[in-house]
Amino acid sequence: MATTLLEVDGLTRRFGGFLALDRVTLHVKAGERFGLIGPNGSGKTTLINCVSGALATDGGRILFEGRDITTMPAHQRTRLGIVRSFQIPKPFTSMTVLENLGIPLEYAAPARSHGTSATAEATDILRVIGLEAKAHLRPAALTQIEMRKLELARAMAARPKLLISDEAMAGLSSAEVDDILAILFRLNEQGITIIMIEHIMRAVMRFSERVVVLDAGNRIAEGTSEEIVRNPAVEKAYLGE
Amino acid sequence: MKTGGALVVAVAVIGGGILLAGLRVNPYLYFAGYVVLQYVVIATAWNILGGYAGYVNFGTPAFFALGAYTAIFLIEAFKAPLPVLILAGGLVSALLGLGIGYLTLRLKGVFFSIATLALSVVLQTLIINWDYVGGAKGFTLIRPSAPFFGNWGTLLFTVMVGLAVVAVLVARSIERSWIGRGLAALRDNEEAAECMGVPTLRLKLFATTISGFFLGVAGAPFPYYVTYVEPSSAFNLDYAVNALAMPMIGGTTTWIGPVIGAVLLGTAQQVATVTISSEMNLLVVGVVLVLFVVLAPEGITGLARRLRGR
Repeated sequence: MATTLLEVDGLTRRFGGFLALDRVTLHVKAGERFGLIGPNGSGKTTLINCVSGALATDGGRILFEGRDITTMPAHQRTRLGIVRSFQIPKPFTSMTVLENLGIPLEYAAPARSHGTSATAEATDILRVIGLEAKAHLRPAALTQIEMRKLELARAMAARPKLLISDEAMAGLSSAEVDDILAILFRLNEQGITIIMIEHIMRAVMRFSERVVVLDAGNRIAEGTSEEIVRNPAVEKAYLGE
Repeated sequence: MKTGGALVVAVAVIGGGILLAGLRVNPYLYFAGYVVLQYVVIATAWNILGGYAGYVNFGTPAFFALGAYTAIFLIEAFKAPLPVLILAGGLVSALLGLGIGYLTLRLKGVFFSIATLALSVVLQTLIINWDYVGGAKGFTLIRPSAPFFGNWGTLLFTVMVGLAVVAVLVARSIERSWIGRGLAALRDNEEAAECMGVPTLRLKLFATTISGFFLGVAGAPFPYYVTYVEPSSAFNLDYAVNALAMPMIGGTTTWIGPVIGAVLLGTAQQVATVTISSEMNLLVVGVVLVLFVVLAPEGITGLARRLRGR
């Protein structure tokens, strides 16, 4: 059995009186393709904000490779290998596409001396992702799908062990979704564990080996894609009674 | 231009400054030159935080005056010499900078700017009520005879040439280092920068501290320059306006921008003060700033880049 890479244990997070996450527990195994779904406002993004370090937790523990990272600043988690992409792309607007990748290569990628051959490495990543031709453009000149690809390319440049893809496909056409899915499958084959948060069921069901469903801050189901689709609690969460 | 080249230019500028000081032209020119150079230091220091990191500081007068009043305190207490005043003024303002650095944890954008403006008002009130450094009456300095050049005007001018060169060299090396790239990332998007491994808090503290240091350094020789310091002159809002306007006009993303802005605007203000009226000089800043914000929001360096088609 594969080892556990990420362990979230009884995670709780409140916003004022609102309980966004209520003692959520989940384990992600090394090398796994993990799906996280749930209706709007169910706490998916809050959960990954807590895991990536953007939000502090109000209770519970987060372990990465067996190490407690619950109170670790976000940039250190990135250096450990937890890297996220954003739902709404957040490129560095004053830099070219290539320079955007230079930041994680310089700051996050482990065992790298500042500045050396980062350009070559960034170019490689852009080739894999299919953005090579746009390397010297500013993000403002990119299309929506290219922007998503840049978001993924930048995350790859941080050399993640765990990549959290937060709705990387929302608003894309069917062909574009397949495009992004192919990239994520390829990354997974290289050994990167992936947590996919997605509303596009076709994508997340095809991609994930295991799916956890959140509803109103609670974990309501876990299983393979087939099991989740047949789960009455999930149906109720999405469609009501 | 490589670092070696930059050092050669820096030495040449300092040498030129000493040569100029030795020429003993009209003393007013040294007096005016000092102000322009002081603004080179201020604009460069402001830009490390405002331009590189994107945190707009309206509290420049607080840092400048803190440098000046640290100097006054040390003159009163120990009759400390000018180099000590400059260093101490810089260090005390650097501490204030470190303090406002922690404000960035909670305050972003316009709220940070308002807090720095308030800081200036608070500090001015404290100084007004502190009699040891002159309080509201102000402080009069009787200068000893100048150690070099025989007069303070040329000496201070030369000192400011040196300080300006040091400030610009530091800003330039920050801009071209991994620190500068990290600051640019957090200026563009702080959350994304943090998630890409950039230690945003540490870099922001670095920027506010270095920026504070050089603003204090610019203010420390001020008592020697004017010989009479009162709170309203040291905490003058002109410093806040100029510190912001000069980098904006020159261009905020590179070290040369604030230098260009300070030299152009500073000189224009001095000319306006002499030829039109002393009140006109801020009008010059206002008009030029409005023109630039509308027509060339990336400043002169941005405009030049665009004209070169890059």
